[in-house]
Amino acid sequence: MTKLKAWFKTIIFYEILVGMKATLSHLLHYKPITLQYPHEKRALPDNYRGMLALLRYDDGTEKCVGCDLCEAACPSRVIRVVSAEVPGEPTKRYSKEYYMDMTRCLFCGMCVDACPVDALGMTREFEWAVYDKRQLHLNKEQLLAIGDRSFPVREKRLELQHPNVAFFNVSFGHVPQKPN
Amino acid sequence: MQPLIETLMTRFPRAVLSVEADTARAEVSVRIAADRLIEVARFLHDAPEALFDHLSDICSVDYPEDRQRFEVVYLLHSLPYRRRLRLKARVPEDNPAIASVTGIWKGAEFLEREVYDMMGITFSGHPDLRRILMPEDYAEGFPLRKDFPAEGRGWRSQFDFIPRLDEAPVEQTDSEIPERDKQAFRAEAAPSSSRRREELLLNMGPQHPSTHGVLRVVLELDGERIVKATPDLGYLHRGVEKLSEGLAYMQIIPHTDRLDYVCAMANNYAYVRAVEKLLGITIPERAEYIRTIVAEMQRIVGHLFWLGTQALDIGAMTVFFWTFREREVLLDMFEKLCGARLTLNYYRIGGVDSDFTPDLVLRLKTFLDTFPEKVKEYDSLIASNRIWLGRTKNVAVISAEDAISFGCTGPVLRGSGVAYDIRKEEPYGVYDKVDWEVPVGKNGDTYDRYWIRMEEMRQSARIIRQCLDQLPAGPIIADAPQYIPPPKQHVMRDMESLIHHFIIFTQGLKPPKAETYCATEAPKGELGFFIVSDGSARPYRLKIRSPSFVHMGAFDHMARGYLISDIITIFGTYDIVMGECDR
Ligand code: SF4
Ligand code: SF4
Repeated sequence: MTKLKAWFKTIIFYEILVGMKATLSHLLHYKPITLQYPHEKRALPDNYRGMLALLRYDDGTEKCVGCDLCEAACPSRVIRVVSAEVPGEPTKRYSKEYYMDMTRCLFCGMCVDACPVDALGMTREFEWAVYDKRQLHLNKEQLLAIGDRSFPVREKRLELQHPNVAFFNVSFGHVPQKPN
Repeated sequence: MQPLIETLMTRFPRAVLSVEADTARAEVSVRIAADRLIEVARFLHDAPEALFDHLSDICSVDYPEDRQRFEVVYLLHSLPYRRRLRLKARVPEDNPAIASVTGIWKGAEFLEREVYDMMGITFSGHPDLRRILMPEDYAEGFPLRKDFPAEGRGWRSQFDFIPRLDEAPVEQTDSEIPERDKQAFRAEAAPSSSRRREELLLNMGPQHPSTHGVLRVVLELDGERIVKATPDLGYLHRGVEKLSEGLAYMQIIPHTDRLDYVCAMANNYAYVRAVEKLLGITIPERAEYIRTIVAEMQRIVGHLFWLGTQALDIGAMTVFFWTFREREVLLDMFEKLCGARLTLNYYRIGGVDSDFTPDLVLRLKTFLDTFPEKVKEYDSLIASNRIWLGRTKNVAVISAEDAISFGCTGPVLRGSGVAYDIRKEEPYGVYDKVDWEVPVGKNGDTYDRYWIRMEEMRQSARIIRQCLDQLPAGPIIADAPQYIPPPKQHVMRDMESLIHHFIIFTQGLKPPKAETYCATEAPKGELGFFIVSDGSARPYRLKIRSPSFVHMGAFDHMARGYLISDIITIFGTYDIVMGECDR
């Protein structure tokens, strides 16, 4: 009897029918999930690890204090920082030059973790395909410009609260706000 | 373990030089004389009280200062007794040769070739000692030796940042390839038969769309039958092991993402577990739960990817779209969790990077509610489809003994009926606190491996659900200031955290001087990291035991005798990812 059943199933292509049933039910129960990419875009989450940017305080000054920690933390040697004293203020430093070679970046976020003053941020920009690799060597101005357009809401520079941390332009609050 | 060591010492008094027992990490390594390797290895493999039937890995370490410069490390594993042992033998620089153990463990063939390729140690008696990851004509030396610069040597180390387009094309050779060069790809001389036979060498890859990465296989064919299949690896070799020797422990985590790029979480997990074992830190409970959940999510993603591509290789398009639909849901959750979809860099030494939000838990639960239904749907498409059955049943069969001898792990080994799953044998995470089963196959063919992966997806869903129900509150990263950077909010507030932050990011964490091997059950099999630490902030040697590479060693054995059209499904059956295979 079971043999007969199996034989019958073979000649009517039973398993194909079952498969077709599943496929056809998709016709009714599922809407297409494909996005027409350049015209439609996904909403990316806040913590998306996209293009890197340098940030500023709300008074327009750069956050970066040139401490070189991001350079030390980067597993791919993307970053090069040349730090210098703020002219006239011997306790404060800033990065005179700041380069990123984005051709090598892993987008791991280690530099953002390492930065003690949250001067680096990862934006939601990801469309950075270029024809010439040299355009991915970014300098400080370019990185600040990315930060300006991606983080319009800037953090306040708080007054120093402890004399020991005078070395830093101290900021509070962890994750900078991103626009929606 | 102790009685075995004593037997070893009494039976081989001249061979066993010393025994180092690392009680903190529960590891034993035995140093033996190189010229007596074979007898000790034979004993360890055969003796009923030892039965080290599974060779996890062969690794080599270079100590340039020592009189006997190179150390060859055999990571043995006994499936019946569930224990591991390390055999170590030293060879001098002027004659770096040691006997080959290919006669004892078949899987040693590829592993020894890799050691030869990377460290220049020759294995006498090896059937086919050629370069494996580096190009055949690589004459610049042996890359993992300490005196070899990390940026490489010779013309290959210098690339212009902007490629020159006006370069003259390389001269083409139109002539026939000399017979000598073909020899490596030919099977042993076939017994002479009265029929006239002519074998054809066919080159497949390295750019073939179905090879799951850049892999070249040279097939020797008799008609449509495969007489010998020789994989040619190394097209994706990036030297991650060499690179890691120059990176701090924390900085290696993003590089492990790029090993098995389909299952980055599993690599992260395997690596951080190895480092944690080295450091001896305990992980907070919530972090352990989150790690387990995420690892199982990754297993589902990996198996979905496998199912889709395997079905695509066989010619079924629909499954591919359906599995990718579910995979997308999980990847979206990963994105929410850590900001990336593929190269996740989520695990941290001592915990994880970010916490599960209630919203995410809810999304995951909704996914789990519908997921078993979806798995059933895939099954209804293919599980009894006659084309699928015809292409998978009795294809790429490997017996349990052979699978063990070749060092197979994961679904490949379980498909042959060996219930070896590290999550059960050496439980980590919270796998011992939840209820789940290890599916085991019978025939060792592609169909059984397919069935196992389907079943594992269901089990993973079960594990995740239980973990979510039990998920405790608490910190997500361990509190060990000398190894783990303090929370960012503290860095900006108190001086001590600031100092720790600076020290850890500039100097890196410094584990004790030790070595350890830690195996993790990745979706593809046993992913192990063997780390030798000399007490500095960078690993002295880091060896990655990648399941794909070991499985490739069994490829020839499993492909012989099948038709050329089966080759594609045989690649697929390992769930191979070349990024991990070539490292
Ligand atoms: S994201 Fe990672 S690789 Fe890129 S610059 Fe930062 S630390 Fe370096
Ligand atoms: S770590 Fe932050 S503050 Fe220090 S140099 Fe880098 S960006 Fe500037």
